[in-house]
Amino acid sequence: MMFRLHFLLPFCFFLFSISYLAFILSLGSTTMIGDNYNYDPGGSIVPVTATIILGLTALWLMITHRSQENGDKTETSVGLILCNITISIIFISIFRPVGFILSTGIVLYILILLNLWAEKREITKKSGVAWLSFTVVYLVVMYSVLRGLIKMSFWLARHYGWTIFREPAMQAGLVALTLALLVYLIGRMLKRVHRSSYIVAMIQTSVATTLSIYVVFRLMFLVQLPTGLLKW
Amino acid sequence: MNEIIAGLDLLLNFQTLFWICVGSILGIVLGALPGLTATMGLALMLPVSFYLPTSTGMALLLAVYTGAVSGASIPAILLGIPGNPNALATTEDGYKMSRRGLAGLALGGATLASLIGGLFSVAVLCFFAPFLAKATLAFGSSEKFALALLGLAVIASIASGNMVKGILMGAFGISLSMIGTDPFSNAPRMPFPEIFATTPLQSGIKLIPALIGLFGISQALFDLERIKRGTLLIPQVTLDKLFPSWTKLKQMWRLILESASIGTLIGAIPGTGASIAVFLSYERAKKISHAPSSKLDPVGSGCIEGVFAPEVANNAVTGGALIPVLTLAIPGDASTAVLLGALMIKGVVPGYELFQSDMPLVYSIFFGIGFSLIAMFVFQLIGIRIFPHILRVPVSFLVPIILILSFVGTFAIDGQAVVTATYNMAVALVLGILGYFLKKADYPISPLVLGLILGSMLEENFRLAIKIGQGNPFIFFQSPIVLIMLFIMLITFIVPAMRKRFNRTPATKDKKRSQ
Repeated sequence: MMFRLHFLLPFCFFLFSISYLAFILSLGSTTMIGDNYNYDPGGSIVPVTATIILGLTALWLMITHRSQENGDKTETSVGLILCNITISIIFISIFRPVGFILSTGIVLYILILLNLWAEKREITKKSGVAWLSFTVVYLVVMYSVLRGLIKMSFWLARHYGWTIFREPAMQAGLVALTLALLVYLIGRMLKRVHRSSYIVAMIQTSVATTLSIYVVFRLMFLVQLPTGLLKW
Repeated sequence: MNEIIAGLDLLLNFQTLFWICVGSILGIVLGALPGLTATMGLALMLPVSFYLPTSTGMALLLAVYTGAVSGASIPAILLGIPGNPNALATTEDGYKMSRRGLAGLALGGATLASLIGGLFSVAVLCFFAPFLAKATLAFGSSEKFALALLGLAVIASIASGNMVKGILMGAFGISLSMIGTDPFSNAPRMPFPEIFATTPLQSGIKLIPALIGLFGISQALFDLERIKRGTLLIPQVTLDKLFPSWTKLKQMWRLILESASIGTLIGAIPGTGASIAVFLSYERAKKISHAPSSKLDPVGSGCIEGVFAPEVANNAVTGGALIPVLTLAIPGDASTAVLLGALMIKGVVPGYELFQSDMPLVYSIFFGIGFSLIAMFVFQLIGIRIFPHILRVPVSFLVPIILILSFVGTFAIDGQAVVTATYNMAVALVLGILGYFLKKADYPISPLVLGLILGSMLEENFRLAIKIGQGNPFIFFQSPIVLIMLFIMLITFIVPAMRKRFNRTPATKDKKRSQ
């Protein structure tokens, strides 16, 4: 694979340089507004020069690709990488319609499961799917509890005038503490229910990571993460 | 004096100190985990720093940077596996000490050495940066164009190992930076402009998604190949002795001073990177310790001197590398390229204007590194028993977390504009996949990143210079500063090529002939 890559990559760059050159030349050159004396060399000179250098260096590397083989024997997990890329594409596609919480939690779980399978851990497909369903329910319940906590903070601020409960840092702190406590307690319960530490770790990692990112970006930085299916 | 106090004031608040602590711990963890890099950590923290005030965001990134540089010594000492290539020299003596039951002393010594090296380079940075920034007053459009070209040339030829690959990546980076709109006429520069001019592509390839993709996602995909290697056996760390004695430290004064100077000087030269500094300081330490009159233990035999020298140099690079970043907008390596990107995203333009108009911010950066180093020292010592256990975290859990953080972080940059945010995620993924293949084929990514960062500066100043010269393309050869830069550029291309030619041994030549 390395041998082909040493040829394929410069070949792709060469093709890119040809197409890029054609595209830049087709646009024509534009000059600065108010350039009455036409001193401006135009907007195509730097891209054209860069792309010519790109093409020439790519051609050189294509010609000399055999001498670049250095016997690198890094194992390539092609299947695993392709799966990760495919799931990443799916994640980007479902991020908005499904929402941040559900899409992130589910995708994290699946990615970790795939990696554990690649390590040949004994997790059957049936149990993988079953625990995925549990993870989704766990995530929705945790999210609902934390949303309830945030709404209660606003209620306390409105009814009692405790304006500190309106502050993003305060809400983030409360939610983070509650999250940590609940994840710890539920983790202890899960360990009694299922003896496989990998499954428990997978579930906990999916839920805790998703909600931690929620705390940082949504609560602390007020980023509008898509709610998707979880409208509350 | 007012500016110094104003700079301190920017940092001495709960929010900044909190993020320095977070960044430091995160940096140590990233540095300790083999396969994860400081650059990846910086790229992942970019979206977080984006939402913080500039001084706080920079302090966070600097804390990650200094933490990661120092944290790489943990696996080097405990397992004989450097957290990054710059900790390779630490492995030599550090691992031997660990096997003799002196892991605590090696880890503590490495942490102390990191602090000393880092503080030395910060002092040099504080002293020299304002002078160098003043020198850039003489820079007009021609000089700025030549500077951008010089930065690219140095990174492409020296940092990359293979000059042709470096030039290719630099040219590719510049080509990508041109996509979007013409900076002077606002004319679209994209395929099918009638379709894409109203899409996010009109603003071109944004820096944060590109950095996250090239350093975060690509590294995560690359690390998937380590999944089958299993978890590591961590030796026990005893805490009876953490630091070398005061007498030993006094004996090492020359070693420390030389290593710090080498690290700072090498760090200040764009494109050289920490690995050269570490190698040079280690060799120098060997010479000093093997001298007949030396009271030091011989470096290479498993002694604290062999840990101190490379760690002092390694961390001395951090302050030195910021000199060209803050004064000339030229990064020394991939990590400082991300730091430069972070400054530019915030609208901060390095150079004399920064030192003239926003000196409190400059001082906050200087103090930020100092605070980061202290935080690194404190947390690495506190966690001296805990951090080694981080090495047990399976890659199968880490990689998905990094991927998700990369995507969500990219989305968060333009979270209000959902279409743009989704486009950014796609850009990060595409560049991440490209970065993975580039890593596999041993193509350097730094020149690509630098081309993306400096491409617009290159084009704008080139066109302005020609316009100022009234259409005369030889305007560039009329400035002595430009001529000096062109000469240095020529040297950076010729020297590696000549070294390669002269290093060819007769055996290699015979082997080539027989093929």
